[in-house]
Amino acid sequence: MKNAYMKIILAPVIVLFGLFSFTATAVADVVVIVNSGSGISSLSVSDAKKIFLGKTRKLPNGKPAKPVEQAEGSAVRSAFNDKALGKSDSQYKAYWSKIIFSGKGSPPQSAADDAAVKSIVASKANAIGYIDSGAADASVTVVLTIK
Amino acid sequence: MLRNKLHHSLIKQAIMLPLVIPFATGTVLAEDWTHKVRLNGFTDAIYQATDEAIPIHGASNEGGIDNRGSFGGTQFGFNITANINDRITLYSQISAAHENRYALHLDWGFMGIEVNDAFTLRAGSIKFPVGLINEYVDVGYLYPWLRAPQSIYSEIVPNGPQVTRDGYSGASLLFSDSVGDWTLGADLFGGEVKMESADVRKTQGLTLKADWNDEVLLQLSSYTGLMENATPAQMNNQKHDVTTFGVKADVNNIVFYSEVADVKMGSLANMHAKTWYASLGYRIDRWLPIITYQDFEQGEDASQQQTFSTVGLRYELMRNTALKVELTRIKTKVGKGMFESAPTDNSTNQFGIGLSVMY
Repeated sequence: MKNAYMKIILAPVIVLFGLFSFTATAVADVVVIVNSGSGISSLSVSDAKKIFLGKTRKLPNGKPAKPVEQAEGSAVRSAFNDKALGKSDSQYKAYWSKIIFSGKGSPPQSAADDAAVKSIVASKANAIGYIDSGAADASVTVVLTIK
Repeated sequence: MLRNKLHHSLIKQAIMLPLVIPFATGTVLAEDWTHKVRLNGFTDAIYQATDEAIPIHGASNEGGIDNRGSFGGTQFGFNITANINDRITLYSQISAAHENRYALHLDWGFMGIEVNDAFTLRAGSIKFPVGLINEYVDVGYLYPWLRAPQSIYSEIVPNGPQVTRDGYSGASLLFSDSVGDWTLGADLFGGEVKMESADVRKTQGLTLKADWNDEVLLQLSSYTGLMENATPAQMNNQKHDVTTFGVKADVNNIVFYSEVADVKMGSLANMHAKTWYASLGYRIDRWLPIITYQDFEQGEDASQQQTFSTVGLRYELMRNTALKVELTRIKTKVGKGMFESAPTDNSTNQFGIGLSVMY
């Protein structure tokens, strides 16, 4: 009786498991950018990792860091998460979610695309972001290139 | 799950405070306030049933699980974070659960003040920082089980281990610093816990954490408090002492959790609990099969002995959505364990299915 009960319950569960699939993400080269007036000329991958994971609240110049990330689903975001932070998109999401739902911090400000990140970094002294290497221009300073 | 007693007006304040204060203080400009206030949410829909008439993990009307089935653990909630300025942030979380007939409830609401790069001072109603996952235990998407292992995370009084609590009113000094690939943390906390069936006054404790590269986490917690307004009344004025140690690892797709706790309730020898669990899983793309063993023992004469052996499967259904199923064999060796009363059979089967969403 118990076995029949379990089979009836498990059958629709097994069917449900097979119904969904994910989409793959492309890879891009990424540069980390800061405001041109910040006085920062270079940054290590380790520094970038600490800033974007909230493990330090300061830029190398001692000012409060204002990190800006790209929107979920962006190829540049996936590449940065993978190459600089060593995390998949879902691991990155889970990392920040644990912090958010513990009430211990909030993730970087999100911007829609390269142009939006560049605009924020160019206009805010302590902002730091990442964009596709091809989108970098004189409005911001490139401090790290991640191949 | 037992919840703190809070008035509806308090809940309204908790919702509105982070939204109103930034404007009232004039610190948030109209064009950028959306970057200062953040809303996140979660939903867990859970169904569990056993082949036993006596409920476990609570009474039938409190989300306990028996052979009639239970939606205990089903809940949804919202988390609001408001950055007032570079140093002050307001945090709050509201939720509604099956156990409380979906009455809106304040999980926590507090302010955090960044003292410097390493220290943060928090004050208000704060999530209890004991247990590897207790601070985000409401968000099922963030862990592999249907519900967090009840040998550690049950809040049922007195049929539970009494290891950790929902939240406390008080203050906390958080420390966090990185040394190479290690992040070291400490949380010195103190205040008062209010539950439906007991208060724990003069609570003070310390949690220490060491995290290697976000892959391995070691956590040690110890706290003490004084029981008041308790049911059963024999717990009143008893000193409540708890020590827990936990390890969590997620390395090369191998997922491992284990926690052990020692719980003392003053002179009540029958409530001295020694409890632990271990979980081991292996992630294969979107699939995470995981086995869990729990051992619950209460009483210095081991008058309550119970084990739980669980086979579970977590499936990443789509982004931020996980489907979970579990089969558990409960062995009640001595006494009633976490059942409401002694079960009719010392071997009980439990089935569960759940959907966890985070947004």
